[in-house]
Amino acid sequence: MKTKTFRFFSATLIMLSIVFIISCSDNNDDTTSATLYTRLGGIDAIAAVTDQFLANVAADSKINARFEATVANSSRLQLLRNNLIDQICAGAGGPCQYKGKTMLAAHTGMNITQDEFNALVGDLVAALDKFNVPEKEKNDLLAILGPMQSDIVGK
Amino acid sequence: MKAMRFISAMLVVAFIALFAYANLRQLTITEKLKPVNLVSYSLTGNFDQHIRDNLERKINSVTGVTAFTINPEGTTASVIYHPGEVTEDALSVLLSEYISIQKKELASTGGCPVHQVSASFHQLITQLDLRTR
Repeated sequence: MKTKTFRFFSATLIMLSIVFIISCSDNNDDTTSATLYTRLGGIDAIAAVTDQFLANVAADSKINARFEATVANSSRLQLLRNNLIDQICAGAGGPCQYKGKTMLAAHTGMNITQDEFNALVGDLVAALDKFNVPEKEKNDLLAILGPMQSDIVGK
Repeated sequence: MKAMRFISAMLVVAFIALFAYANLRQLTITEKLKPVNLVSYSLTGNFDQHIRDNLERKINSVTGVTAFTINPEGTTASVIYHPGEVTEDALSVLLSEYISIQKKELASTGGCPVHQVSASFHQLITQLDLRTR
């Protein structure tokens, strides 16, 4: 009797877990429109720019110490990359949702200087230039990311 | 004994729940991208712009390499690549044909706020997801 109850209890738990998980799963809409996301070339182009940006940052002696431990660990690198792609993609009106921390929460206590922030932006611009992203799209993207500066510098 | 059984059952349920979550969640467009690794090298010795250009062309043309950079000072190079398509060893061999390199030992703690716990959970879910294999 006890075994039967235990089995029933376990089976119910499993079923409840699965139902809960299915109900919580994301329901992303893959539709796109003529947004900055489309003009940039979609997710593959954004991923390519992001990879170049990360490579630039990792080689940038002004700021690479900030990122060393992150890029040295494959799971942290992967999450950082996904967050960056999601952030650019979502900011550009693409079918992504940024799931990382807010910029303020992520950078509080890091005491990032204006020079470091400028170096980071320089690395992003260099990545965009490497892929010949047109001036308009580049400025539109920087205009989306620029306001984050107040949540990043000096916190 | 009972407690042991209960704990075992809970562990099984937890694993099944994680496995189900990993495989039933809708993958985002970003999660469908192939994973990447990064390797950094310290560069020693002098090399001119011609060598730099050749090297950039050569490394960027390797299948699996998604990004390559040498910093303006010529002291550090970084490569991002798909680990399933090219190996770190192959990249090292290729680079050392042009310049003298030494793999950079990067710090293991601190850094940009992508925390180890959330990154490890993300990696576990990815490992359990049969669709990403």
